[in-house]
Amino acid sequence: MLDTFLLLAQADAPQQAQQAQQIGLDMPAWLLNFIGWVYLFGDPAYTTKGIFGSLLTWLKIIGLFSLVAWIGARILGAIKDRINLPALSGIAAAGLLGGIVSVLFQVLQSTGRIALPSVAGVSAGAVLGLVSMLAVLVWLEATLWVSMSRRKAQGDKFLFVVMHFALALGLFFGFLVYSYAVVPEGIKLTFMDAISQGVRIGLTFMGYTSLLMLAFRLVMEFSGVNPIRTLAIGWLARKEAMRRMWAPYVVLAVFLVVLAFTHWFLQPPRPAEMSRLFVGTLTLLCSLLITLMIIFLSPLSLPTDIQQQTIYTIVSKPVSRLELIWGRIVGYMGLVTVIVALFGGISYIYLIRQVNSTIRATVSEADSVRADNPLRAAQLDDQAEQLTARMSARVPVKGSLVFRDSRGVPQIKGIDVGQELEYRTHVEGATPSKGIWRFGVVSHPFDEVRNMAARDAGRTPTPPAYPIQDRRVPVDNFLRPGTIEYVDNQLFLLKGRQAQGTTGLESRIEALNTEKRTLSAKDAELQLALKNAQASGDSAAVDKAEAALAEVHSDPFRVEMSFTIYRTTKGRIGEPVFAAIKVINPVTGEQYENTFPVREYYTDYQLVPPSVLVGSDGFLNIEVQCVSSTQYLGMAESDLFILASNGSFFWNFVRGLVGVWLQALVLTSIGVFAGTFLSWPVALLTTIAFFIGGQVAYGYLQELAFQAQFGGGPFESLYRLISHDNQMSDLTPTVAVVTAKTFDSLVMPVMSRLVYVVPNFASLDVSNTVADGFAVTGSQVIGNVLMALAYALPFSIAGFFVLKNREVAA
Amino acid sequence: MNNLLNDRKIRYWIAIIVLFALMFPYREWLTRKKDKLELGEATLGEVDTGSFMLKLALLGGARGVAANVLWTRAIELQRIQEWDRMKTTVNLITKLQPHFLAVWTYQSWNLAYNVSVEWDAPEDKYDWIKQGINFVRDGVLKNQKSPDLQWDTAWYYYHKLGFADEAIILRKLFRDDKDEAFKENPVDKRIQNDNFQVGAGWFESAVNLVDNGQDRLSTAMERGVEYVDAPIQRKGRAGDLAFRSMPAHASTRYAASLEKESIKDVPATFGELARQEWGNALKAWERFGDYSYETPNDIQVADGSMIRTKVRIADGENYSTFEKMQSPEFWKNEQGIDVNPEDAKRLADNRKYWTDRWGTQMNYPYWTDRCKAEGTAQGVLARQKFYEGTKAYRRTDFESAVALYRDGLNIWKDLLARHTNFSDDDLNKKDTGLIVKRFKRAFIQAGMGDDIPKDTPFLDYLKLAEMDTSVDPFDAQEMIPAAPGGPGEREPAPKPDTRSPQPAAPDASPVK
Repeated sequence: MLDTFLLLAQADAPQQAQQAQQIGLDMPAWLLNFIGWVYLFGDPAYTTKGIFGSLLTWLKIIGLFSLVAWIGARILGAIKDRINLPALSGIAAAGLLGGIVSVLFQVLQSTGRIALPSVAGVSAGAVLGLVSMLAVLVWLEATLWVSMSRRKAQGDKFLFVVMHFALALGLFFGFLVYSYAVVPEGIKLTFMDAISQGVRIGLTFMGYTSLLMLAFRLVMEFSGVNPIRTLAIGWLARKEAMRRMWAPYVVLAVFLVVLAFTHWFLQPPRPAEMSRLFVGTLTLLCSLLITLMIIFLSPLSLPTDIQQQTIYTIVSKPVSRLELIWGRIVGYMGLVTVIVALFGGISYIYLIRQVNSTIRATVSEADSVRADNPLRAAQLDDQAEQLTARMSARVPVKGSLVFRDSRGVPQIKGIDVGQELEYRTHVEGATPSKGIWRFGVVSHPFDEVRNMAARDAGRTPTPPAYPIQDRRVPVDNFLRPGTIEYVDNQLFLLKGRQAQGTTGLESRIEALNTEKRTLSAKDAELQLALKNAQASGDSAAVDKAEAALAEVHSDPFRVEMSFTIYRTTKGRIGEPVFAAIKVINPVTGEQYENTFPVREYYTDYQLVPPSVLVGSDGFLNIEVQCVSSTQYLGMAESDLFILASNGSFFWNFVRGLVGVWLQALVLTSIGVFAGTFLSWPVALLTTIAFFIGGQVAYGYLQELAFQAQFGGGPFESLYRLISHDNQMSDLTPTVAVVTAKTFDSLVMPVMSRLVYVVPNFASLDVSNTVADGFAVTGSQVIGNVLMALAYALPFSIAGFFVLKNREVAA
Repeated sequence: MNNLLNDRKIRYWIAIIVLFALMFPYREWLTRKKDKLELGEATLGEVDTGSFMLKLALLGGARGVAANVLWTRAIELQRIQEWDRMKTTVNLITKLQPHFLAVWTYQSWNLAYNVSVEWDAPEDKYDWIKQGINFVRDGVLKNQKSPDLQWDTAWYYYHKLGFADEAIILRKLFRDDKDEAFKENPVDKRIQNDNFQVGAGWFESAVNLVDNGQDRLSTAMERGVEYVDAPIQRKGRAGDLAFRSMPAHASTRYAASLEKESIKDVPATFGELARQEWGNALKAWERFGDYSYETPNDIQVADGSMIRTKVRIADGENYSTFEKMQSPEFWKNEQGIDVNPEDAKRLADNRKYWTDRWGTQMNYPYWTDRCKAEGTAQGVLARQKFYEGTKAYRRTDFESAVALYRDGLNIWKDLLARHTNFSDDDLNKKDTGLIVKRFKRAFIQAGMGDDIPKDTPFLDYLKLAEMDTSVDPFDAQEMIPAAPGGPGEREPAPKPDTRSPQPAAPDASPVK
C-alpha cells in the first residue's frame, strides 16, 4: 500500500492521471494530482529526486524535531509550574500502561503466543493502543492548555489551536484516500491504515506550523545579531583555544612529526599507486587531527565558562545568545580555516615533491633498462603514465552500459564468471558478446535491453518506463573552432535545421561551405607535403607538416578504459588478451575501429579521431568486444569514459580540503550545541559519539534507521548474545524473549528516528575522488556545503534555544 | 588541611622515587635474562624504527586490536582488488608484530601467489612475486633465527618463479632484473642470474641455520619462556627429510633447466658447464644422503635400555654397510654402546629398514643416479641432441629433427643401460617418453612413415607420455612454433605500442 503512495508522490501529473486510469480509479485527475502533492509534502518518508526533494525532507525532519522540542518545552514548563490535574493524571498513567500492554499484546500475537480477537478488522491490541494513545493525548492537551492559560501565553495558545487544525487536515486526507481507495486492486485499505496515514500527514503539518513559528522567532533574533559582536566572540574563542589549550600548536606539531616519518609507515608498492596512497593518507591525517582538535575545543568552552562563571561578564552585556553560539563557531572555524590551509599547503608541497621525484625516478629507471629489459621498461613507462594521469582532475563523460551475450541476446549484465567481486561482468571472447556504452540522451538500460530485443525481432520499441538519462558528449569541448571538423559539424546542424523547415540559413551555410573549401584545400596541400617529407626522410619537415595538420584538425579525443581479464585457459604464454573497440556515430554512421591489448589494472586509452563526433549532437555508441577466444573481458559502466577535460590537480586538492573543512563545521556546531546543556566531560563524549557514529558506524546506523538489522533490536540482540542464538534463528517466545521484544518495540521507533540526527561525515569526504585523479564537480561541492549547513544550522539554533531557556547564571 | 595535603604530596613523591629505584635493578635483571635467552629485539633481527615507534604509540595492549583491524581491512582490500593498498596495510601489520612469523609467511605467500595471479601481464605477475619475496625477506631480516622464513624465501624463488606456467618469461625477467640485492645468493653472496641458483642458496641457508644449532625446538630457548606470539617453527624439525632435500632439488632443477630453453629467448647451455652443474647437484644430493637422522623408534636391548640408532640415507647405496652393522663392534665404535650380537642384528635390521624406507620416500637412488648419468659427456650430448632436434622441429626442418632425435635416443639408451635406478623411475619414463613422442611427431611430419620404427629405443614409454597432460613449463613451450605475425604484431595500436610482448622469433642460433 505504501509503495503506491510513494509512486503517486513521485510521479508527474500526466503520469498520475495515466496511472489513475491504469488502477481503474473513479476519481478526477486533479484530485489524484492534489493527493499526490499532499503526500509529497505531508509524509516524512516520501520524497522526490534532486535538491528539492532533499530540501523538503530536511524541512519535514526539522519540523518534526521542532514540534517535539516545542511540546517538550511546554511539558517541562508545565512541570515547573506544578500543574497537576489529578483526574487526568490517572487517565494518563492508565494510558501509558495501556500502551505498554498493547505493545506486549502485539508482540505476543506476532510470536504466536496468543491469538487476539479483532474488532472490525482491527486487532484488539491495536485498538487498545489507540485508546491508550488517546488517553495520553487527552492528558497532554489538558495539561498544556492549562499551563498556557496560566502563563497567559496567547501566542502559544494560538499555535496550539493551529496545530490541531493541521492534524485535522492530515486526518481528513487520510480518510479521503480511504474513501476513494487510491490503491491498486487487490490491496485492502483498513480503517487503521487511514488513521495512521492521517496522523503521519497531520504530524508533518504540525511540524511545519511549529517550524514556521520558530522561523518567525528566529527572524526577530537574527535581526538582533551583530556581526561585529559575533566576530569579537569568535576572536575570544580563538584566543582561548590558543592560550588555554595550545591546541593549534599541538596539532600542527603532530602533523609535522608524522609527515617527517611517513616513509617509515607508508611504502607504496608500485609507483603507479603512489599518489593515491599519499593523497588518501594525507587527507585522512589532516581530517583526523582537525577532528581531534575540534572534539577537545568546541564542547569544552561553554561549560567551563559557565562553571568558572566567566560567562556572567558576557551575558550581563547586551549580547544575544545566538551570538554566543555563532561567535564560537566562527572563532573555531577561523582557526580550522587557517590550519586546513596550512596542512593543505604543506601536504600539497610534500605530495608534489614526492610524486614528481617518483615519476622522475620511474622514468629514469625505465630508460636505464630499456635496452636489456624492454618488458620492464614498458611496464615502468606505464606506471609513470598512470601516476601522471592521477595527478590531475579528469572530468569523465560516462555512458550507459548494456550488453549482448555470447549469442547476441541483449542483456542488462554480462556473463558472471563466478568472481567474488561482482562489480564487473564479462563478455566472452570471439563471440558476438559485447559491452555497449551509449552516450546522448539515453533510455534506462532496462528499457534499452527490452527495446534492443524488440528491434532484433523486428518489433516496434515501446516507450520507456524508467527515467531517461542525459549522457551527451560535450561536442563543443572537442571540436575547436576553425578546424575542418568544427565546420563540418556546424554545417551538419544547420542543414538539419534547414531540412526541418527553418529558413534564412542559406547565407550562413554558404559562408561555412566557403570556409570548408579553404580548409580542405589546405588539408590536401599539407597531406601532400607530409607524404613528400616522409618519402624524403626529412624528419624536421615531417614534424612541421604534422604540426600544421594539427592546426587544421581538432585534436583526437581520449576514451579511457580499465577492463579486467578472466582467462579460461592460459592461452599462449605471454600473449595479452585483445579487445576490439568500435566508436560509432549513430547519426552519420561514421565509425572508428581498433584492436588493442588489454592491460589489467592499468588505464588503457584510445585516441579517437574527432571526425566521429561530427553531427553526432552528443550521441555516440562505443562497443567493446573481446577478440581472444576462450578468454573473457570484465567490465562495468564506469570502466569506460570519454575524457572531457583535464583540470588542475591543485584546485581539486583544495576541493578535497573543503570536504575536511565542512566536516569540521558540522562537528564544531555539534560540539558547541552539546556544550550548551551538558557538563564538559559528557559534552566531550557526546561529540566523540557523534563523530564515530557519523564516520565509522554510519552504515550500521542506517540499518538501525530502517530497522533492517538481523537479530532484532538491542534487547533481542542482547538476549541472543547471552543465549548463544545466532542472528537468524527463530526464537521460542519465552517470557524473556517476549519481554525483550516488547522493550525493543518501545525503544526502536524512538531510536531509529534519532539516527537522522547523526550526520554522514564520510559522505563529506571527497578525498577518494581526488586521489583517483577525477575532478570533484562544483555541484558535488555545493551539495556537500548544503548538507553541512543542513546539520550545522539546526544544531546551532537548537543550542541557542537551550541556552536561552537555561539559567546560565545559576 | 594544608599540612595534610603537603604530607600526602611528599608521600607520593617518596613512592615515586622508590618505585623508580626498584625499576633500575629490575631492568638490569630483565636485560640479562633477555640476553641469556636471546630474546632482545636486536638479537632476534634487525630493529625497525618505524615498528618501534608504532608499537610505542599503541602502548602494548592496543597492538593486538590494531593488528586485527588491519588484517580484516587487508582481506577486504584484497576482495575489492585494491592490491597496493592491501600491501601497504599488510606492511603495517608487520610493523606491529614483526616477530609473529605467521604474518610474514601468510602474507608473503598471498602476495607472491594469490595477488600475482590476479594480474594478467607476466611482467606485472613478476612484480608482485618480487613484492612477496621482498616481503618475506624483510621478515628474514627481522627474524634472523627463523629457518621457516628462509625456507619460504627459497620456495618462492624456486617454485613460484621456476614452476609457474609463465616460468620462462618470469625467469627472463629475473635474469634481466637490475636489482642486485634481489639476486644475491645468501650463502656465498654472489649475484646470480638464475632463480634456481638463488633459491638453492636460500634453501641451503635455511638448512645451515638449523644445523648451526638455531633449532629452537631442541634448545633450551623454548623452555621457561612464556611467549605472547610464540615462534612456531615448521621447518627443520628433526627428521624433516623434505626440508633437507630442497637444496639438492633446486640444484638439480638448475642443472636440468640449463639444457632446455627455460629462459625466454635464451638458448640452452651444454658442454662443460652443464656437466659441472650436474656435478654440483650430485654433491648436494650426497650432502643430503650423508646427514645422520635418527630412527623414530626405539629398540630395547638386552640390558633393558632403549636404543635409537642413526640413519644415513646414503647407506642404502651400498648394502655391505649393513653387513658390518651386524657386529657389536660397529655399535661400540659408532654409538659407544655395548650390545650382544643378537641385538646388534636387530639394530642393524631396524636401521636398514629406515634407510630403505626414507631413501625410497625421497627417491634418493633416482636423483643420485640421474645426476651421475646426466653429468657424463654422453648424457649432456644426448640432451643437446634432443634440444637441437626440438629447435629443428620448430624451424619445420623435420628431417634434421628426426636425425637428431634418433642420434640422441641411441646415446641415451646406451647411457641409461648403465643407470638402472634412473632409467626405471617413472619420472624418467615420462621425460624420455616425451622425447619419443616428439620424435614420432617429427617422423610423421617429415613424411617418413605413419609410425616410428619398432626398434626405436624406449618405445614402451611413448604411451605414458601420450597420456600425460601435465607438462613441465619448460617443455610446454618448446614445441610451439613461433607464428610469424602473431596477434602482437598483427594489431597495430594507434600509438607506438610497447605493451604487447612480441612473439619469440624462431631461435636458430647455434648452441654452445
